[in-house]
Order: sequence, then C-alpha cells, then structure tokens
Amino acid sequence: MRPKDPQDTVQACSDIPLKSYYTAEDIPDSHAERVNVAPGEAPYHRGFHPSGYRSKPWRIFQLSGFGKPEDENERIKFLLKNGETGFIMEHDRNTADHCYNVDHPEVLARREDVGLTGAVMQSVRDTAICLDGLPMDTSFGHAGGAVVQHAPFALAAYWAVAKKRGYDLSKLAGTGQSDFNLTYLGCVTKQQIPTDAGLRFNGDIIEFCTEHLPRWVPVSIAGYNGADTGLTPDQELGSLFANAVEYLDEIKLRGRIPLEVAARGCGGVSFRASIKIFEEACKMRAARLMWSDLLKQRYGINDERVANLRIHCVTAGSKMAYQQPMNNLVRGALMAVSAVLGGVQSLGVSGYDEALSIPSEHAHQMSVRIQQILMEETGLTDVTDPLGGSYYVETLTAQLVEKAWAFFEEILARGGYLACLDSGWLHAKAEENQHKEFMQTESGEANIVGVTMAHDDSSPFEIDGFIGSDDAFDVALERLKEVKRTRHEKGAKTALKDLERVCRGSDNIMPVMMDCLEAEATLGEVGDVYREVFGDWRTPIQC
Amino acid sequence: MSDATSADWGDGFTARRALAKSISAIESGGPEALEIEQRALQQPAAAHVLGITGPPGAGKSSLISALLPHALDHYGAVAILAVDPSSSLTGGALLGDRVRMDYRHFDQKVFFRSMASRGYQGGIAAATRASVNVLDAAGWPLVIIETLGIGQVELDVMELADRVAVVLNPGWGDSFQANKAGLTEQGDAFVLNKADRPGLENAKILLEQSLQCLPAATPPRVFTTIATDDEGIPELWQSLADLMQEAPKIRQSRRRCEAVREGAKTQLLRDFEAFLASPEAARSESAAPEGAADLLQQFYREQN
Amino acid sequence: MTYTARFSVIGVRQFNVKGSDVVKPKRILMAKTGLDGHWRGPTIVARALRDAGFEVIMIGMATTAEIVAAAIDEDVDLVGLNIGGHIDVALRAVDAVQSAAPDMPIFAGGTIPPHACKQLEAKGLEVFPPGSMLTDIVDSANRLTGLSTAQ
Repeated sequence: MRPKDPQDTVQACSDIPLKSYYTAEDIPDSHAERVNVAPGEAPYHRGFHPSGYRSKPWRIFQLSGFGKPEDENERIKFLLKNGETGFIMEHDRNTADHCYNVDHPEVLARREDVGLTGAVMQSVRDTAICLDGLPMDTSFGHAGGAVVQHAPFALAAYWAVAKKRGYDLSKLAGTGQSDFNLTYLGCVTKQQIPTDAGLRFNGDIIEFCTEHLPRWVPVSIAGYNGADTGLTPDQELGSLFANAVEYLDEIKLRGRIPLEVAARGCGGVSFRASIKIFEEACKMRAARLMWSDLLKQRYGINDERVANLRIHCVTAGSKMAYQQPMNNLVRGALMAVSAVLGGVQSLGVSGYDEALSIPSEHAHQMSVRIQQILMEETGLTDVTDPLGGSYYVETLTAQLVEKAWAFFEEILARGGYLACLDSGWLHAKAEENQHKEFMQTESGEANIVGVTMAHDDSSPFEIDGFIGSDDAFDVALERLKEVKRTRHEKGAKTALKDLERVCRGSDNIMPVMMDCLEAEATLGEVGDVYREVFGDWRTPIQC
Repeated sequence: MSDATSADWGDGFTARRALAKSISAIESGGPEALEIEQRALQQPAAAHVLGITGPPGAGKSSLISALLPHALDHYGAVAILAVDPSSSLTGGALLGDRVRMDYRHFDQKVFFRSMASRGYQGGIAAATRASVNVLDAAGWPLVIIETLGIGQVELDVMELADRVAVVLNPGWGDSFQANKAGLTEQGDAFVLNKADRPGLENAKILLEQSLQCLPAATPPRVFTTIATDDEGIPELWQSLADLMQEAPKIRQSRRRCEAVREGAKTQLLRDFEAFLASPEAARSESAAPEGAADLLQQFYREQN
Repeated sequence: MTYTARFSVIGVRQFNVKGSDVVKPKRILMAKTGLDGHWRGPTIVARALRDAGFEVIMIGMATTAEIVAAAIDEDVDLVGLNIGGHIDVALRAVDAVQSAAPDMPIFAGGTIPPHACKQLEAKGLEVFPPGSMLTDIVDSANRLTGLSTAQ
C-alpha cells in the first residue's frame, strides 16, 4: 500500500470524508443518545433481538440454479446437504425475465443461452420437477420471481405445487422478491411492463399474501440490485425506503388491508454487502434505524413487530475479480464479515468464479463453507452488535442515515422512486458513480489486487467458467410442446381469457394467476397477455 | 472516383452497403460528398420527406416507432435519419435512437441511420440534406428525419422536409415555450405526446390558441397521442399521409435547389483555390482586396 | 492534430474544399448479444469511447441479424460486442459480421471465461474481459479504426 500524505483526503463510498481516528466528540448530537440504546430497543440499529445470533443464526441462503429444472433441483439438494438452511430457485433470465417461452424469436436467436443462468420453468410441471423432494413445508423457500413482471407467475407456480402436495398455504414461509431495482435499474430487460403496472402487481401480491399466506414475505426490495449497478451505500438506503413508500402509499390508497400488515410484509429486504467493511456494517445498522423512524414518522406505526426489519444480504458480485479468482474466496469471506457485523438475518456469498460464470458446484460449496467458518469458528456470533459504541461506527452510522434521508427526500421531490426509474434519474446517478469508481481504478488512486497490482501471470489457480448443461433448450422446447399437447386446452384458454379480463380491470391478479398455473397455462402465454394489455416500459437508458 | 460515388444504390444487400458508404462519404464532406449529391440530383425527385422535431424527451423516437408500421403499409419502405448531438468538447457522440425504436421486425424495409450533428447548429447535421437526396435517388419512397432535441429555433429541417410534425408534451402547457421557441410557426402538425400526463387539456388549449394567431387560413391541427400505447397514432398517421400528398412542390424543389446552389458555390470556391495556386495569383500577393477580385475575374474570363 | 482543430473543420456549414483536411470521427456500433440487461459495462465503455472522440451507436440487446443490419446501415468502422452468455451466440454474431463486411473489425468485452476468450481471439477479435482498463479499450478502438498504428 502506498503511504498516504496526511493531507490526502480519504472518503467513504458514500462521499463522506473520513478522519484518521474518531473520538466521542465526533458522534453527532442527534445520534448521541442512541448510542446508549441496547439491542432490542428502538430504533433497533443495534438489532432487533438482544441475544442476536446466539438465539438465531443467520440463514445460509445461496442463489442457485441453471439448466433443466432437474439440474437446478440437484444443485439445491447439494447445497442443502452441505449446510444451506433455506433454498432459492433461480429462473432462466431469457425466458423468465421477459415472460417468453423458449419458442419466442428473441429466445430462439440465442438458444444456447437458455438455462445458463437459471432453470427454464415454463409451466407448473417444470416448477414441480425443480421442487421435487425439496422441504417446502419446513424450509424458507425463495420461489424465484425476482423480476416484477415474472413474480405473479413464479409465485403462483410455487404455491400451486405446494397446494398439490397438500401443504397448507397459510403455513408456507418464503419469498419471491419481485424487485424493481433488478430489471428497471440493474439489468434492464428488453421488454417489460411499465412501472405503474408493476406497482399494481406488487400491491396485489401484498394483499393476496395477507389473506392467504401470512408467513410469506410478499415483496422484498433489493438494495443489492441498486448498489451493484452503482448506487452508493447512502443512495442504496435512500432509494430502498423511497421504494417502500411507493408500496405503502399504494396499499394505503387501496385501503383494503391494515397498513401494519403490509408494512410487516415490506420489512423483508435485501442489501449488498460490499468490501468496505465498516461502511457496509454501518449501512445495515442505519437501515434498521431508518425503517423504524419511517414507519413511526410517516405512517404512525409504532408496533415493534412491524419495525423488525429482516435483512438478507448478498456479497457484491461486482467486487469479484476475473483475474486470480481464488482471491475472491478472501473477498467473499470479508464481505460476509461486514454483513454479519451489521447483524443481518440471511446471507448469500458470491462464488469465487462470479466474474466468469454462474457458480460451479465447488464455488457454491465454498460459499457455504465460508459462512459455516464464520458461524462456527470465529466468535463473530458471540456478542450482539459488537461494533456498537465504537466512535467511528456510531458516527458513520449517523452520517449514513443523514445522507440517506437526503437522497430519499430528493427522490420524493422528483415524484417518487418509480418516477425516478421512468425518467432515468437513478440510472444517471448509478452511472456517474460507476464512472468515478472506474476512473479511480484507472488512475491508480484505488487498487484491485491481481487486477491493477500484484499481477501474476503464472498463477496455477486459473479456472474456467462453469457451463451448466447443454440440453436445457432442447428439453424445454420438448416440454413446452408436451404441455400444450396434453393439458386441458379449453381450461387453459379460459384461464388466460380471465387473466386478460382481470389485467384490464382492477381486481387482484393473483387468484386468476393461480387458476392459470393450475390450468397449465405457460409463461409465454401469460407474457403475451401482459404485452397486449400493458404495453412496454420505455427504458430510459441506451444499452 | 471511389465506390461511394459510383455505387449502385438500388436493391440488394451490396447496394445497401454502398448506400451506407455514400452517406458516410457525405458526412466526411469534401469533393466526393459533392459529387455524390450532384449525382443523386440527376434522378427526378420522388421521395416524401417527413420531419419530426421537438424538445428533448418529448418522445420523438417512440412516436416514429409507433408511426412506422403505418408508414410501411403506405410506402412499402422507409428510411430514417436520426440526428443526435456531438460533444462540442471531444467531437464524440452517443447515438441511442435505435434503442428506442421498434424497427427491427421490418428487416430490409427500413433503413436506419444515426447521425451525429458534428457541430452543425440547426437541429440536423450538415450531411442531412445530401443524405436525403441520396436516399431519394436510391428509391426510398419516404424519408423521416428525426431532429435532435431542440430548445430554441433550430429548424433547418423545415428547409428539407415536405412536412414537419412538432412533438410536445402536456408539461409544456405550464410555461408555454413553443411560441417563444418559434415552433408554432414551423409545424404542419402538432403532437401532444404522452397524453396520459397531467396538464393535457391546458396544453391543448394554449397550443390551439397560439396556432389560431398564425396568418394561415387553416391552422395546423393538434393531435394527442400516447406513442408507447399506440393511442392516437392511426389518426395522426392518416393526417400526416394526407398532408404529405398535398405538400407544396416548392418544399421538394427547395432542398434540391439548395443542393445545386451549394454545388455551384463549392465549384466556385474550388476554382478560387486553383486560382490561388496559379502563377497569376502570385502577382496578387501585394494587391488590395479589390485588386485581387479583379485578378480573379480576369482569371475566370481567361478560363472560359 | 488536436480534435478541436478537426472539429471546427467539420463544423462549418459548407463542405470543405480541401477534402483531404476533413477528418471524420470514427463510428463504433455497440451491441449486446445476450438478453441479460447488464448495462453498466457497455455504458461505461461507450462513454469512454465518446470522450475519446468516437461516435458510438448503441443498439442494446440485438440478435445476429439485427447486429449485421445495423453495422451495414450505420457503416461503422468498428463493431463492439458485449458478451454475457454462451459463447456460441457471440460466435454466430462474429461470423455473420465478418461474412457481411470482412473489412469491419470487431472487439468484444463482458463476462467472457478464458476458453471463450481464446475462441474469439482465434477469429481475430481483441477481447476485454472484466478488469480491463478503459485506456486499453480506447487504445484498441483507435488501433482498429486506423487512428493509430501503434501495436
């Protein structure tokens, strides 16, 4: 490391100047009395449970999936056997994100890509294969459906399989995410419903879960997808809560379910755990504090069960380097440490091969092992909020909160979170930060080991990208034909007609989506209804 | 003479590349550009030219995208020239209009060319006119020009197009800029796009009022559209198609006349360059400007 | 020659009479071969290329046929492919561009594992996997469009 001149400024990612050390004097007055709060006390920045990880270890929760539904099923079983304590289904991006079947021209043009990043699930039959033998009743399951327009289909498929297996939906625990950041900010799809239709979908899911699946986290806002696109930690926080406001205002406007219940549903979120250990830990602390304040001040909700923000964290994929990939094991472990120090409830560690491909079996196993080592060997779980009271950490937490609220207010002043997606304002912010980060690396101001320094051309640890299976497309096409040939055609067509009617009206979309899945309507047919009724979001970016 | 100047611009893939290369040569400027345009002018004018202009973000690309299927039904093939600004600092440009445009299903029936303004002020590029004339000569029956987002009067597209549609948004009604920007005098049709936004009625009334004040016997019509939902598009297209049929011939001849004039001017300048290089010019070095002009005229007389 | 100098030449309304003086900004087509919408990488690269004086034509996620059609109509000097999926999809696009316009150079970037980099390089492409420096990418664009002969 190049020694710094004492006059050089050092900054946190959130554009906060850092001093070379901190004392009690640095903690802002507004935060001073909060320092003395114990974990379990409002505003909960120190954690919701006094006993922390002693009584409840975090959930080991890895994104997993590729190829055919049976390939994904096998990988999930492998992870569960290795110690994963929940499971996540991952859908093929080409088909799921766009609600296309594999015979759509856009997919046909890229058939080799099919199954590369998740399993192809075009009907409830595929979902059933993927879930075969998985502990849906006892485990926290992520049904996929991370993409807003895909969520109703993915959720209904999961629930339809559960129903068929005789499970009581009201006891089912899990989530489906349905996150705007993912495809309206992060990985923008080629085609998707406009944001207002997406907001309606998420409102419908929240209402439906309130009535039928009280243990389900209906939507889960993913700050991760904003952060890995370029939002700084303060912006990640500010935009996440601005997004939550969209949901809560929508539910309030509808007035059909108690706001407290909806707020509880919105309180399962995800953040990115990146490489700046203290800033990231502070971000998790700031998030809990902000959620508690937001509910109190904006919605008058004081119920502490509602204020319990449950945080899932994924380590930053974009921080994983292509060069010398074994270094990423260290990065993954350290980013996981930042999440654990921040007191998160659930954690996924990116694979060491993240910059090359989806995780190989070994990379996946190592992501679980990292977490097991942190949990079992390091003593990180012994004490709740071990950083609490640190001059630096408390100051940075308070500064993050302040900056995040300012960003939140700016978004609201610009018409709200969805308006800032529509206009491209958030994209511009993310791009600006990314550009700055690139330039810092480019100029030598910031280093990445193995990339900008410590080169090692003779590294014996080079790995190649993992390729799942080579028959995902062929099998998916065969199964698509099969389901259309053997399903009760009239039932499927009727369900799709009903879906179109409901989409055009204002009833909740979920009951008729369940009908569609049970009638074996396919993903692409559902997507066709969306495209017909809702049209296409006008993407504000050029790539 | 290079490939670009002699190329066949007719049907087929090779021809298409030649056409594209001709436009590049025009963008590069120079004698070759002039030759290409002059060659194009040997064909009789046949194409209709539609200009789409309006402030940044009004939805010009989306509108063209929505009009395209109708235009293709009517004309069979459509060429689009989409102009975006060049950076005045570096000369580089990000040309993103293709992303907004759902032109891809039409394959060979649509020729799409992104054009950087390359410092030219006026909402188009210096090469736009010559490109239009070349596309016309190559047999493209309709050329649509999308100007870069204009703020003030930068309406050179008026000089090129048979008809111009001005795209605005309801938000413009609040602080009505169209009049000030000189837009109301320029359009043959006005489109209030993104009509689902608040302020539509107000904007429409204000716009219609300004248009009533124009000296024209029948003021241009105001249309409301939501391009992304195809709302109002068929009506707008029908009207634009009619307007184009009835377009005054003067507009068509104007873009050609200008090309001829520019050709002549360039020829004169080139002669002047030749003159400056000639032994006669050497004598003019110490002469006053009037003296130099006399020498030039003498030089011309001797040339002929 | 500084860029400002040549820009003022292009910027004048009349065609410059000394054709040889006119330097045309080089044009680069940027396309994504896959349907994954990671836009960060290509956007940052596009911005760097624009700042280096290139005209960058963005077409977003495009099929092989769309990439070829755009490369021809736009008459670009260089095609940039952002590759995120299976290498066969990208190779198809490369083959199609090379057969339609054999003189048109191509470079590629994105999440491209080592085995795929080798396949692209074998077809004559310059390849920029994650961790590549923007200056190297801009240098490559200059070289491939003939603005500099440095190797």
